[in-house]
Amino acid sequence: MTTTAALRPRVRNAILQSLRAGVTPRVGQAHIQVGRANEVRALLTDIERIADGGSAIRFVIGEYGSGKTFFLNLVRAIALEKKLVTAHADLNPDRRLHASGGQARSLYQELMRNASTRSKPDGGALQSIIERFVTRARSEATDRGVAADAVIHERLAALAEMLGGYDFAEVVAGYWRGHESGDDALKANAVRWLRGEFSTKTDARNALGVRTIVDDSNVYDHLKLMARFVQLAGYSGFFVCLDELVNLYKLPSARARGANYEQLLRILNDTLQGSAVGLGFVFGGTPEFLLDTRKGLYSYEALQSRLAQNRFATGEIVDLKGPVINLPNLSPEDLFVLLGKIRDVYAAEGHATRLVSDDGLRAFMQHCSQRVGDAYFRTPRNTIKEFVNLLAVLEQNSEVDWEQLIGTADLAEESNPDLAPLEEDVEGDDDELASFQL
Amino acid sequence: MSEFAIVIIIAGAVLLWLLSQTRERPQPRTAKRERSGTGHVVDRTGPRNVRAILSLTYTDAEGQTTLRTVRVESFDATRYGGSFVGHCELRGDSRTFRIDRVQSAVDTSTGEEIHDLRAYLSRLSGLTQRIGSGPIDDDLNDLLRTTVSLDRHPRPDRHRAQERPEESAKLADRCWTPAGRIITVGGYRIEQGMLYIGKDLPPVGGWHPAEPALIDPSLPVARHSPAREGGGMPYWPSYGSIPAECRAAYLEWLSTGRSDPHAYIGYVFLYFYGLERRLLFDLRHLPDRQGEASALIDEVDRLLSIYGENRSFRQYGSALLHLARALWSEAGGLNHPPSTERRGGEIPIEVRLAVGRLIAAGKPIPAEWALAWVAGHPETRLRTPSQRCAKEFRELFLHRFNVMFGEGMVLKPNKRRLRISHKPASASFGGPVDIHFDLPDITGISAPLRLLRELAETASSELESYSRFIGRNPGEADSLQALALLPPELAASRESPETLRLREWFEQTLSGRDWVVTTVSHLIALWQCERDDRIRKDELGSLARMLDSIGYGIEPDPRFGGSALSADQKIVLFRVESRSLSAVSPTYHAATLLLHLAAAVAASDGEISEEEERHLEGHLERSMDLTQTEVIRLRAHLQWLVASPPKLTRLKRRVEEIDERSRHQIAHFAVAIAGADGVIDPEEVKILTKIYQLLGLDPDQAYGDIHSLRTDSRWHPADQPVTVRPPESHPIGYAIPGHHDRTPASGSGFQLDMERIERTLAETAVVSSVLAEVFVDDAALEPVSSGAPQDATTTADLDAPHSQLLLALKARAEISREDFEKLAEELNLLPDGAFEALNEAAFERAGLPLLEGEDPIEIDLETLGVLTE
Repeated sequence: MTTTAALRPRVRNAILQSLRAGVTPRVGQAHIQVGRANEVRALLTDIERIADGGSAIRFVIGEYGSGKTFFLNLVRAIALEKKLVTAHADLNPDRRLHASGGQARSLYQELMRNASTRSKPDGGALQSIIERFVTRARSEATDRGVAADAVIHERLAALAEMLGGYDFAEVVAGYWRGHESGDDALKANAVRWLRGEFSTKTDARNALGVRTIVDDSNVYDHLKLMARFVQLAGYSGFFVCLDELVNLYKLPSARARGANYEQLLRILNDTLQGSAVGLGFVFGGTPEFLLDTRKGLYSYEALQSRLAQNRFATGEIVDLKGPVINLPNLSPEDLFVLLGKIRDVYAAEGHATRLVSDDGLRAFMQHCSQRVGDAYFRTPRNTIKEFVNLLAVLEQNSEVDWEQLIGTADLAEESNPDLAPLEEDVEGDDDELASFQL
Repeated sequence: MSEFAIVIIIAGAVLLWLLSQTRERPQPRTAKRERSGTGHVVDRTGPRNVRAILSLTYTDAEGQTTLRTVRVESFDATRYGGSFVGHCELRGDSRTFRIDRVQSAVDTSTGEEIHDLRAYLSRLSGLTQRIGSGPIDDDLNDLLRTTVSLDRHPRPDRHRAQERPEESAKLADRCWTPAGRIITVGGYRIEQGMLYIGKDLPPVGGWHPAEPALIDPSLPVARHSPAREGGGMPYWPSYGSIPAECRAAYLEWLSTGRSDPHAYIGYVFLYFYGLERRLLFDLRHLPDRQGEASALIDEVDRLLSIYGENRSFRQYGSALLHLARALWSEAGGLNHPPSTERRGGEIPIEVRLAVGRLIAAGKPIPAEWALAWVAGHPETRLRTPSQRCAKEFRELFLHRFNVMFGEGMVLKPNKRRLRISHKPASASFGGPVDIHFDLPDITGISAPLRLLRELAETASSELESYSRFIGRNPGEADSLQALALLPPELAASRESPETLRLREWFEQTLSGRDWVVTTVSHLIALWQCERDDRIRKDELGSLARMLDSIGYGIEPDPRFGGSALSADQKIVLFRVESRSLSAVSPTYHAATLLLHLAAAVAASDGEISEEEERHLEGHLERSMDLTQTEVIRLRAHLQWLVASPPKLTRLKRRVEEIDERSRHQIAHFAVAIAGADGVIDPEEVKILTKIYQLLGLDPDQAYGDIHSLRTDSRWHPADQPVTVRPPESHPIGYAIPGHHDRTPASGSGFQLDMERIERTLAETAVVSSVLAEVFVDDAALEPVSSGAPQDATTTADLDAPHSQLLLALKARAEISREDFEKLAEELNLLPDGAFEALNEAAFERAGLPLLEGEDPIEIDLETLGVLTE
């Protein structure tokens, strides 16, 4: 687990802002992680295996509000810390693993847009990766006293052997040529090609002299190439997070669904057989996506047999070695610890210290359970949001006590489980902010 | 609980006192609020106009705290739990500020420190509720609401004009002096009209006692001392309330043509208020007067042409202009090209209107409007090049758009209807004016916008090097070096004296031929290279791009594998037909490599004979899948090889340096290329054996390799008897059977095994890296790293250039992306690569990143300290 050493103001603000907006923080998750040590450890092992040139695949299965997305983000942050390159995307009707109408390419584009490195954790790191590759090659060339060109080609030769790798290598070399001859158009085109933004082969050929493009049929191959490439650039591996897999389950056409599951099977087989080097996948989905024998993963026999629960792991006994990780729902106790952690984050960095006592936390939870019943800890999004708002009010009005305010938190039961789309990061799009009433 | 009620009552009393205090303040919004009228319940939502200039410490969404001066324009008690809109001088733009992010505030007009900004703004805005923050508001408010409506009327009159707009407009019409009617006020003869003259004209809405633009001739005018500099004019002027000296200056300005460019802008605004009222209120309720509109619009346009320099006036003026055009002119403003200026936080109204109109009519959206749409969208972030080279950016965008969409984009109308909320300059309206249109609202459309944004992004990144050049060498926008950096589409249409000179020189030198060999020194003189004895690779590259755009080529060309050249070397100039060659296929690379080898071999027995030349040329053109442009370039390349054959002695020395495996690879490659057309004829065999010799390999091995090319299953599975010698048609040479699912290659029916070529090409990359070392001339070798001396001190496990970059960042808290790129470039580093490398070192050493953010890039000084220790 990452250390929770220093909480920087930037991270603190980011955490609080995300929580306030009701979305999962993208940074600093470690500061508010509660429990789940075994699950985190399992994924950590996966990540280390990827960093050692292995491969890994996990399905993180949990109910709405059990913190899948949070968990995925946490895992992603760990992967970044371990010098992997990560890419994440939510599946939706326009972004699938397999398609013929450009939806798979669109998923690839989204992944590449979100490609992150430790120093660029918010995505958009593709160009950095390419330049890192070139930079390393160049310094190696300086050390060996040979031309940079030669080193770059030598390194890219490893890619050229892979499926579709010849053009991939050619495009990266094109980026270098563009840099060297001051040709920005060529550089931009190379990046666009790698991001899957070319839609016709003719365009790609005119711009870069290559014959292929990233299209629906070769998305997975390109992910494998990317995994190899980031290793060549000096990163430990490539980690792909795909969330909202329930969208595959919701595909109305059985054929389309089957094709997507087939793609999953291919990834699963590759990974379990270790033929994908330095590449890891983690998928987030709901139980019905996994278990539904009519439309879920279990409807696909080959997947079912590979993913089926270990018969010996029932109830309290868990098996974290299998590809499926089941996230339990949050318990009231978990939530209590979580609120405490949020309070500490709030109080960090010289901001008013300890605004609410532990009794205050209890009172707040009590209030929540009265307002919304048990759901408050199962779907903690609103609870957390209101709690952060409460802290904000307390901080700004030093004369007000928490006792006065706790009863005022206005909570509504969360609706629309499942497909509640993640809000975009609109600045301060939280009108409910002032919803305190006496 | 009873104690609490008492507190509330006391608070209410205090509030009432506050309200009575505000009456004395000269704030127009709150002044004279006791005018008659019926009390009504205050509506709590929506923005309210407020005028105040505040000095704020503000923390933005990214957590950055800055000190800003903000001219507050409106206040909204509910949005974001209390926010206000104001013109921020730091950003030079209108912004929304959230009260909860304001750390401290001072009213600059009074110097008063404001502890409760929310209450302060509520008060100024005339909202009586929500004083104090937090949960007490609502109850207090309820209390106030009852109390206030009993004896005080917070917003009397507000609805008078709006409830009976026709009457109010008719009243205004009686005061209106149309264009051309001559009047005399206070001794000033005013000819052009377009003014409200008279008494007692109520405003459209709001709290102003009278229409601010109304000239009341009975008021005193200080003719002897007009305040031309605008001394005494409040921020929010009204003819009735400004000092007599100001009236004199205003009337003087009106009577002297309304065009003195140095006039105080407040007077222009005062006049503008009248035009605004006429266009946006009166005319909408007086159908028979609508003929006036075009003259009024022209007048606004005229004012803009004179006073448009003033940012605030330009903003209000152009907003009115566009809205008025949309309302009153036939084409709805479509025939006026949009400006791409950013205005506030939303897409400019004229764009929403015009694009909405086009979509509704099912017409294509032309390039100009598409650009205005994407550029005006608040979420579009265009980078520096699009601003610094606005003209080029525009041209490039339009060009690309037209290529992609032809006449324009056709979109399906969306459901959301367009509602324009216009913020008038005049206080007469008392807030935004809402106008509904039966048109689709493009703010709800995102898919085409993404496409447009991508287009804009590409255009701006392609202009980056040009922009950087212009930034560094202002005033040289037309120099050859600058033009060379432009994308070809733009460069082709830019004729400067220098391009003409260049073209002339080329025509003279070529004098009708297709190609000519010359020495590099000519080009160095022509291109004004940094050094006069050699031309750098990037210089040569930009020259080549420049030439591309005017229809010439050079060989060697660094874009396709050439390198730096010294002055005494040869270079081939030639004509190119197509200008679209930005990259060549790997096939082309393979072909040039073989040419090199062959040229080296051919030159070994003296010189390359014409026959050998033709043979090589023919072979490559036939056997490889080259485009016409590539063929032309390849011919030129061959000419260059003939003119400056690779020096054999040096070549031999280099060849000895590479290991045997690589040498074998090269040899195999040569064989594979020779066999690519399915035939290896004796002439080729001869050359191949020489290549083997050159490579220090046993020439006899060549025969074996040629044989294995035909039989090796890696190349081609022999699934049928190998035709050693086809009958008749092929007198010499060996035919290699075609792919198993095709008919075997026969002499005339020329068939290529594309798969095999692909495989061959895959080897090219390997071979070319080896060959790159072999064929690059010593003289032309690039210095390994030009910027950084090799003995420079290194820091924190970084190499010399990265250490230097690190030191250059010292003592800075942030650096703009552009400066960072410049620094990196000076040190011969790739900016994003350097960003990663520095951060990696920082993570190693300090566990924290050194650089964060996109633009500007923030530098963590503490981490920097750790790194440079």
